[in-house]
Amino acid sequence: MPGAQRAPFDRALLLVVPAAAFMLLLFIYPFLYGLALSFNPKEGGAMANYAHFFTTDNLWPTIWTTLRLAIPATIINVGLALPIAFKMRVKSRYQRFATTLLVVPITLGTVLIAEGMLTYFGPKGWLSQFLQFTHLYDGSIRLTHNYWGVLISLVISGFPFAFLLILSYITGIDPVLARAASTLGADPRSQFRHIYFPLLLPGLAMCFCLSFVQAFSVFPSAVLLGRRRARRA
Amino acid sequence: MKHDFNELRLDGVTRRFAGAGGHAFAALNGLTLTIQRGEFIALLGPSGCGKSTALNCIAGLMQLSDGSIWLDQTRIDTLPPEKRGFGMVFQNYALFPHMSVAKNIGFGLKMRGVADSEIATRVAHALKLVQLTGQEHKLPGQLSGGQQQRVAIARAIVIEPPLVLMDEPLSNLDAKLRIETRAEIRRIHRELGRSTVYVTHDQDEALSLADRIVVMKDGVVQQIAAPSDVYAQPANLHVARFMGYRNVVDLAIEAQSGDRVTVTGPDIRLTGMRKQPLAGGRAFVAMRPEELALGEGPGATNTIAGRIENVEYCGRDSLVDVVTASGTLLHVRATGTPVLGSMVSVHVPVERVLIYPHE
Repeated sequence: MPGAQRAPFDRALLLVVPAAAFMLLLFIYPFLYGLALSFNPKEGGAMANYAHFFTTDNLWPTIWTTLRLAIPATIINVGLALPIAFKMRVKSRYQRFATTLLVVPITLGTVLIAEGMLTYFGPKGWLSQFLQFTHLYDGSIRLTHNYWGVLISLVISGFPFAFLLILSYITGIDPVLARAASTLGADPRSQFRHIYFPLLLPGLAMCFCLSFVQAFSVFPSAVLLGRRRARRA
Repeated sequence: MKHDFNELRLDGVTRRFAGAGGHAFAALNGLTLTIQRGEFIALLGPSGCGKSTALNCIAGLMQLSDGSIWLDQTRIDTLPPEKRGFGMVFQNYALFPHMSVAKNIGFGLKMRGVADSEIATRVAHALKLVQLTGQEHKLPGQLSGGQQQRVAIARAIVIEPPLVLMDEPLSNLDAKLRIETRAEIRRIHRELGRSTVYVTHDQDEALSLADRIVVMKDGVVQQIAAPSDVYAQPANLHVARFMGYRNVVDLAIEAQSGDRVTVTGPDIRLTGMRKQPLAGGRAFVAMRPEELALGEGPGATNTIAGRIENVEYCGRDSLVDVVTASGTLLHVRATGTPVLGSMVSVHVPVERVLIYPHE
């Protein structure tokens, strides 16, 4: 509130001191320490480590592969979550059921999803057997141990997160605004374009960043689903 | 949508909702009303009476379960809200928080594809009308509640709608601002000459603003009449209670001649005017505190003896509770200095005693 009186200090705020101290000691201090170390290489000037990182060829393929996975996965997750969450913004019994269903993958860890996918999407998996049985697609399907396997796993694990985040942003927008817009002549498309979308934009940006960070740290999926499993003797 | 019309006709407008246990209940039941061009109509009633449902049905924000709505010869209840083009003012203002005041007001014009230069002119005119010139670049969050409500009004009227709908527009404002904004709404209505449907639970707002009041209860219209009629001649006991007839006494019918009825109790004998046909031996008597007076009336008719049990000083007068020997409580607005515990007489003119049947 403009011109509101400054609130007096609330002693209950002291309760965050232990948590803040914990963060400071175990996260912020080591992080800053590491950052400082990175500017003090054993040899060369202050930027030598960074110069080395960005000029060494064998690091680029790794960065490139990660981006090639993380960016499409983020776009798919946010792009799917937005229309679905928008459709579900009105509270109903159906909404609660669908939300629960969509959120289930969040409760599974990466490893569980990976194992499940190997059974379902693998060369002898249910999907490929079903497609071949119904003759919908007779060619050989390879959806695991490659790029697609990792991407699918990123969508399965990342989508619920993006969906929940966007749903909470959308339900935070007063539906009366859209009704007001409709009385002023805005059809549903214009209501979305002029009311919902601009109000959602900060939330979407936040969701995009978080989804991206989540997808960027895909090492477990990459190892389990991207690489051929070593033959067991 | 054409901007002028002669009348808006609601024909048996009904809206049912699925209630508890799968039973449908009618939030609005058979509302039939014709609104003339330029008329100010107030839908008045307690919460849950169906007045907001009626407004949402007119706006197109709610589907009808039954009945129809006509703008002259055009049936409009099948049109979505954006095709009806009625301006609506919401209780919580519903201003777009990410748009400046000018953008908010110009939104309806933009949706209609009006040229930017014309939007600017019309927005400036609307701002002047609601006395907010100079605030156009502020965001709604930077304005006070009263200013936000005036932006909402400007936004609804700048599209020059045939009908302006207002849903309790003053209920979020404090008492002083409410009276100011009320006068403002009346002035704007007079200047523009647009038809207005105004929903409120506040009888003072309805009385001061409306040309006609529609009193509702449980989804059913109780009375449609000019404010002075609703105030002085409530059609039934519900309307009477709602319009401030705080003294409602159950008495036995002694004699009837025409509309004049005499009713009695152990220590009360009143003659009043019948408002509805009476049946059975008993009737309700309704009287306003401000129409009862302390002291003897002319002759002994309509004089009741009692004892002052409570006095609330209200400045101009006092609200006095008088209790008769048999325990009937009467609220009286009295001038002077009523003395607590003293024995007094209360009298009331015959034409201000309204008599209603038992339900």
